[in-house]
Amino acid sequence: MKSKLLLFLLSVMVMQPAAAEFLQGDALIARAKQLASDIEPAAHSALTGLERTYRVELKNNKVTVYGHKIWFYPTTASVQNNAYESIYFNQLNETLTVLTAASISPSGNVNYVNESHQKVIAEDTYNTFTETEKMIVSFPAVEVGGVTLVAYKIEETLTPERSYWSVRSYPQQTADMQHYSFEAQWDDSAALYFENTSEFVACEQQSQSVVCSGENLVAAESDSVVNWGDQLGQITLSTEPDWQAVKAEVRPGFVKAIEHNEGVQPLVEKLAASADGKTALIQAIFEFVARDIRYVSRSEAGYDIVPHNVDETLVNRFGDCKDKSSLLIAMLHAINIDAEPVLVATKRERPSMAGAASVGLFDHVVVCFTYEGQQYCLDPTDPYTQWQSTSDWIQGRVALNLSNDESLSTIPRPQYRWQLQAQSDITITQEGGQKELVTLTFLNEYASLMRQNMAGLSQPKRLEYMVDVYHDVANEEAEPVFEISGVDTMSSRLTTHSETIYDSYFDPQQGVSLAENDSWLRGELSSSWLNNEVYGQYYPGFRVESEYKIQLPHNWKLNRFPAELSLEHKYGALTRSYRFEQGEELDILHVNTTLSLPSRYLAVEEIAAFNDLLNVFYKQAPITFGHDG
Amino acid sequence: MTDSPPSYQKVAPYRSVWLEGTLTLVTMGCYLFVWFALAARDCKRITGRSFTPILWFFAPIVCLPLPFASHILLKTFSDIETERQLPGWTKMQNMVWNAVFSGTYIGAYVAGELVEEQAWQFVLWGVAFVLFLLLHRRLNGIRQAFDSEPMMHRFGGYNALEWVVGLLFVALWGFLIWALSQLKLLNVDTTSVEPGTEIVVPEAKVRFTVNQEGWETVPIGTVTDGSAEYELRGPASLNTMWYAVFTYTEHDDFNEIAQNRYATYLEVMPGATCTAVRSLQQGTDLLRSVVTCENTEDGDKQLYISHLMQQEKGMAELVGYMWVEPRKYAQYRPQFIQDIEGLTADEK
Repeated sequence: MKSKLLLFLLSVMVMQPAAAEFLQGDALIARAKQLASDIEPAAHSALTGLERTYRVELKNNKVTVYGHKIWFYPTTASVQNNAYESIYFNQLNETLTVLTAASISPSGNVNYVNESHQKVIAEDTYNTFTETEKMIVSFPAVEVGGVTLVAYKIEETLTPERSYWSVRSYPQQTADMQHYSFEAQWDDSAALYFENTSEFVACEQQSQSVVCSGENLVAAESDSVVNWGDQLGQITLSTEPDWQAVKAEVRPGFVKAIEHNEGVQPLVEKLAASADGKTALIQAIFEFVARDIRYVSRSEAGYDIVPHNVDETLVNRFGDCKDKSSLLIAMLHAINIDAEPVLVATKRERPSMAGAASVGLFDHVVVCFTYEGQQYCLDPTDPYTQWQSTSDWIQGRVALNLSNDESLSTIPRPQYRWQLQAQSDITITQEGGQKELVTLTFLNEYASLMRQNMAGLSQPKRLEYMVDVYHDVANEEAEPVFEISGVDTMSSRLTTHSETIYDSYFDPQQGVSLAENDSWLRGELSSSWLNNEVYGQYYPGFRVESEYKIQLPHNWKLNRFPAELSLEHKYGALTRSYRFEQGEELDILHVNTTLSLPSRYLAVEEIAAFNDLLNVFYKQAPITFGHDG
Repeated sequence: MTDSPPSYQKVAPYRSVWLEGTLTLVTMGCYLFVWFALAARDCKRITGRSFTPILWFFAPIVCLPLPFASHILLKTFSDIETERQLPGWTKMQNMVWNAVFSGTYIGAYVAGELVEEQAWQFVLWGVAFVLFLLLHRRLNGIRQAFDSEPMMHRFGGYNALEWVVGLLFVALWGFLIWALSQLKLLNVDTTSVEPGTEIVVPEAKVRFTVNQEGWETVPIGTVTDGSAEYELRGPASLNTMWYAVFTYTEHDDFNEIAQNRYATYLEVMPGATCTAVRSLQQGTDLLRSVVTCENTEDGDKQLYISHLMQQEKGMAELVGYMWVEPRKYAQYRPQFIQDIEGLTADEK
């Protein structure tokens, strides 16, 4: 009996993850020296993590996260590129303290970081509502063969107004890591909910504690396009038991902000007076919120997840995504449209990789509603996208609707994010020159992108921009003359017209055998190649409709026409047909080509095949015709 | 008044049936025209009736009047036989002979135009030939009852002109056989292909099905310049209907080859109407191109069709060519095109 008990205790001890202890000060220096002496420098060719620890303590509603990291620098490149540490925190409610930070030379000299080596910069980007800052610690005197170390703590006190908290740790990083540990303990003042999706660590969870550790974690492979949050396993610790709790935490702020809406009704009535029907009124309301309310980041204390009152936003004529969304919802409610706030995680596309429910997953909010049977998601911080399209940076992103019982979802993607119609009217002269009139119509999200690129430019600069585009896509030598319309509106179309004269470029007396490159179709194809080699990625969808009307002298007796294309594939299709009209002086060759590449997720194994198909389509771009015999 | 025997001009002398038959065969039936003219001439000489021999030369050429001409000839024969109390044919026998001879003779012409199976034509010609020999035997009997004199002196049964013409025809036969053998049209190294046969060409890694009768595999170089991997010849005479399989390396450009086919067909087929269609092979990103060109030349219809298939490495192409009269064109074209379009990758 005793031997069985001993065996059981022994097995428990073996199975239980052995967490590395959080260290600081001299103990951390000694630990770094010990780890540095244990490694074989020649065995490492890139930055290598020797140890990384997290220790979370929650006592009496105070959360403290302790962490230390020790890095080894085997090469000059690793010193040049990585001899600094980034520590993320929220200045509004968190306090960051760097406890120990130093570098150790190969000979053992210790060089401590002082205040001048530390800098705090804002991490947030436009549109998002989080107020994350980044402390950058630049280590002094780092040498090849040396190590750096840092120990810090981040403290936060949970209050009735702000009772939520979460932390997210990625055991696997883009550098090898020899020892990793994550440890958390909490008392009865607040429950913490834990989830681990990393295969590189083993965890042991008790009722009020959890310990995870992993050894010799290999570096994650990088790639051309990668959302790390979607690809790497992670440890999440959160005060929220589920996504409904997250909604319950965030939704009241929106409800309260929207309730203060006295200025909304008069404004909506004013807009309705000049709008022809409800659809036009939605357009007018959205344009007002997106364009007349300017974006200003307003996540000061108390308003990181809570919007300002709608009336206040109306008076200020500025606000962040929360404020603008609240105003848009209030205005849509005024015309009986049941719009709702939806939280968005702009850097995540896979709900299954979201980890434990937490408010901190999200950095953005948009407005979704159903109108005439169709669901729309509007981003009021986007002054370029027509309301019936979806801003490209939120398409397919992980989302949480605050007003229903659903769990995580994603913002719908359109079948084709990029849509272009190109009409080319070409007249070829007897001498072999040509006059080309091209009308390009950018649709929906593509119109939005082009509008965004040109909106800040003067009219001459806009024309220069389109000439540059023409040079890139069609012909570097040509001098097209452009007209542009639709830049300063929020319509679903942006149209350009160009006229280009080409001098004689072939001698018809030598025979007529021509190849007109379907330049715009080819240009879009060449921008569609995917470069990922490690991770799958979403292809956003492309549709190009190209119409050519080629007029040429009747006496050339055209008898060879473009091949009809009917290239159907699971990834997309390329079709082409032609029609030939004979006239007395000029014959007309009409050629219609359609490229359809619907949006889809492509596993990494599929990307090469997808690119191969693009290559096949690309080679069919030339429209060939002539006279033989 | 005393009866005096009527005075006859001399008729052609007796010639054995087999000599007459041989001359007819050697001259490919052309002697038949002379035979009819001479028979009419002798009838005129014997009966004094108003035969115009030169017109009878055309009796076998112009088919439709043949039954009427034969009727006149047979009735004259019968009248002569009655008058000279020679053994002859009854009226019924005349009618049967005329019906069968004219029927088979005209039928052979019609069969040549309408019936693809050439055996029928040969059978009909054979029956008409035997009937002709029977008629000649009868004419021999009549001629023997009258004084005869050859137009020219005969050596071994034929006069000098007949020898010259006969030998010229023999020489022509010899040359034709030699020429055909040079063109490998008579190459014995052929294998007939039953309709519905799937042709597998391992060298090109493709397969296709031949759906019509009369096809045969022929040695490489029979219908192409020898660059093909496989060749088939169709049921049309000479080399005017064939399929050939070609291969290309991975260094060859698909678009260029498809485009060249289009341009080349337009060059060799003046006024041709062409279509060019490209698609993807089922479940792959490999291209296929079908270029079809058709024209009318000298009253006959011409068709070139190329089915080019991209492969993992290189390409394979099935080319079909047909140059036949419009009726046969309409008959063959649908299955011909179906055969070519049915080219698939041989994945076995």
